[in-house]
Amino acid sequence: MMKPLHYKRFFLPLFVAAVYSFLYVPMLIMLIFSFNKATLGYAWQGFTLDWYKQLLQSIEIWTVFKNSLIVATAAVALSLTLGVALIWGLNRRHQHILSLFYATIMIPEIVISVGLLTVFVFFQVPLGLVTLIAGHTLLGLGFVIPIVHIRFNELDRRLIEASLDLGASMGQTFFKVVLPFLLPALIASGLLVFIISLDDFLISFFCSSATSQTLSLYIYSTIRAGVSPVINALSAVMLFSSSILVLIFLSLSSRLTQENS
Amino acid sequence: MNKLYSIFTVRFVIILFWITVIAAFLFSSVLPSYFATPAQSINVYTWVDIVDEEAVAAFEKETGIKVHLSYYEHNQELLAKFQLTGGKDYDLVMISDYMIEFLIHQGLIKPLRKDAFQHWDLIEERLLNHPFDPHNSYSIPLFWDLYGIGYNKKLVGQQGLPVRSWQLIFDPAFANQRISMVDEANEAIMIAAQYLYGNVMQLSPEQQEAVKKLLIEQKPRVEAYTDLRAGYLLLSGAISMAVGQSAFVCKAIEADPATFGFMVPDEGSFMVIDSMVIPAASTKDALVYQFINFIFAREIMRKVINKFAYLPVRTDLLQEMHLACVGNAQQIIDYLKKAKLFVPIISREAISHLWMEVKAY
Amino acid sequence: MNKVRKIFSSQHSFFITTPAIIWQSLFLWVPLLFLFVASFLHIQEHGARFTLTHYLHIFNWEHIIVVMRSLGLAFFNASVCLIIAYPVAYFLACNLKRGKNIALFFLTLPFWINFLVHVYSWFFLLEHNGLINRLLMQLGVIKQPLHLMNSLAAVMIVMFHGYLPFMILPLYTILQKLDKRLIEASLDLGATRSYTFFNLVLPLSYSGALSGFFLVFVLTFGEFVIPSLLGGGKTLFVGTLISEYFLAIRNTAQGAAFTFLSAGMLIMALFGSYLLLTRLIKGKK
Repeated sequence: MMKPLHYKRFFLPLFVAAVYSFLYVPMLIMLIFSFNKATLGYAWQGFTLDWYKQLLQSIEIWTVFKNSLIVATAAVALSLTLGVALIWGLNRRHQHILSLFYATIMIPEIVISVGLLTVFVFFQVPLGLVTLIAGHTLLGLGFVIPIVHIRFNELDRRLIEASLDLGASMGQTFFKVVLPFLLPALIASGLLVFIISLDDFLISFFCSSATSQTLSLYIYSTIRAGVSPVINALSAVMLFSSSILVLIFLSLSSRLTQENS
Repeated sequence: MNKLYSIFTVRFVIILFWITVIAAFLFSSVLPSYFATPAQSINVYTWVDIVDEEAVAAFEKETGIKVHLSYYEHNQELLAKFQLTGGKDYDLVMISDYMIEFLIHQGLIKPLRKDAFQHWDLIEERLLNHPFDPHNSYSIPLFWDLYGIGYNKKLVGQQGLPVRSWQLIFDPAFANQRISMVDEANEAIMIAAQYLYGNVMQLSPEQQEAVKKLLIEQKPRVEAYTDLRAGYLLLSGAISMAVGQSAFVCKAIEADPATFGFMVPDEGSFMVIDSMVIPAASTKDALVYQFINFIFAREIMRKVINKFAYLPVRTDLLQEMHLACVGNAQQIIDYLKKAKLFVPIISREAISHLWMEVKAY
Repeated sequence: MNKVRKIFSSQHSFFITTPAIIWQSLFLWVPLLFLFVASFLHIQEHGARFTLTHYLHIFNWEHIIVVMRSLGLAFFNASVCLIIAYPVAYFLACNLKRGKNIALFFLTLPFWINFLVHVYSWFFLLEHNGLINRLLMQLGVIKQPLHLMNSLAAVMIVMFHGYLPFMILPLYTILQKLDKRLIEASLDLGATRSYTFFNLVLPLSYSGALSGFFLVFVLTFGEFVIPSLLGGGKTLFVGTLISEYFLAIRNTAQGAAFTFLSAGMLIMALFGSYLLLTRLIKGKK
């Protein structure tokens, strides 16, 4: 009875390992090739850091990166501010309004993008970084509001009452009592919106102009013409920075869950 | 009742307030254009591979006129810009031939002052006075390009190409050769029509059906429908023939002329002319003409041609052309004689319907 | 004046909650409404009138096939992801004793990597002279390189690769919260592993499976990047066709009609999948 189980013991871990390898092998290969001398073709032609040098020197990539950063930062700032303001000010009776915001995740992004494009063109809004920020903030709200709302519900209302009883104004109560409590959720959802904005392609594709290219758009238009070694280097750098962000995010969310238990 | 009314008003005002704030945010990028740009400057709207930035720098140095370059990628972006703002943000626009007629019709571009441009006589005759702008009242050709077939000599032309014709991409005899095809509906239709019927101006419904059938028959051998990746696919060996503009294909294969070649079919091919137009709302005419005359200089044009592989509009540059890719000057002029522009030969609706049927299955 | 000020100060909460609501309405609901109205309009130079022609134009086989293809792909992708993700999530949540943090790190990482980088990484494997072809040729399995790129197969593989993490994570989350003692109890009572899984774990993690399935389904359905880069422009999917309508053909009204047609079919498909999954998972009692 024990022997057959012996084989099965290893099946599942092996399967999981196989799946994980499948997930990461393509990117590892791309990482390796970012050090490859060859421009075209996949033969190994020697180790080089040239592509990374080109990456650092490319004005275009820095411009595009700057644009992406501006949009992402603005989207985070706006969605956090608007979201927290909404949750703080929302009456208990009107909680159902929050469901307005859950639709963002459920509607395919391409529908949102073409809708935005149509409206912007109709109202003659100039397409650019501003319209990108508008769209990304919209996406951001769809994440900030659920996450912060859950955290807000964990706040003991009696703390607020106590603060008010002790003479603090609503504003003071908010900044001294509520905000610090919400902070982990704010940082977590802020990071999430940041990465979503950096990563976003569809809204940028439809709602930007040639002067407001983002990182994703740049990568897309370059690889549309074929393989480019500089993009390999860029991807490697992005892989690395994503890993760091994930570490931050995970440590934050573990702190959040720790507080609960 | 009074109190309720007042609350309602206050709320309404609040909503209006926020809508105004958001609208101000949305339109904030319009503000800079209301601040006077320095008098001695022009705004040029173009796509990336056509204006040489070094030439621009040289112009700025020589004349003191600042040139702001803005880029667009699709013609749709251009159209949107023009229709929204009337083109008043720009003083000079680089544009493809088939857009010009529409802009003239809409009154969005202004007629040229023929005497202000000094180089009319330098331009190759056959690039002027086309139906989209008779007498070139509105546009000055800047560069042009030919459509043809790039090919891998090892895979398809070992003893020279079997035929120099569109047959290579349509005939069942070559069905085992994988190709890349243009991704523009009208271009594909016109190439197919050229192959089937020669120079036609219109297609009857039966002819449309035949064109559709031909394109569908061609599909199994198409590796990809693309304009941009054609050169890359050819280089990587995924295809043996690539249909497209010479500039795209030649740029990719210039490194290896032993293996790759480019061919313009004998029965006639297609060309695109990239021109300069001036938006009707521009007020900087004098400066704009200075710039146009400047970039028409021989050295500057030669540089752009070498860099981006377009074909020159200047007759003298054309004479000295020897692009290993397309051919020598005489051949190019021959092709020019037989080349047609892409004009719609069936209605827009029919075009998209046909293309849908080719692509959907 | 004082009265106004008094009323205004009582409306503080309204003041700070409205921006978010207006933002959402202005940038999500109004555009959708716009598109919906536009799909019924025949736009001419001097005005517009109500018409059903757009819907009639797109209610033909070519358009329906495109939507069905995307639906089929979405369903297939979501199902395969579900089947593969379950064992992985189960293992991570229930069997893994140590190294959970590392596993979680590698699980979360794909979300934070730019999607385009994900897709691009497959170029190196699938291209004509890419790694897979070269490996197979060197091993002597094939003589000529396979045409892996620019095909439906490439699209499916990369879709699977891209969306698998989206399925594993919700499953993992809900399996984490499962009381492990239930599993232990079931095993102690003599049930086999598979019986325990199908009759205990599965129904309990039903909500996670459902949300993961729907997420992957909707995301796959509207995909644009993967078909555009890996499909070779040979077949149309909903995402690429919508993009074509709005950017290339520039027929907003018809594009809007097609968007809503696809959305309608999506909702029907989601509902059908919901029924199917519920029967499969919960019906096994």
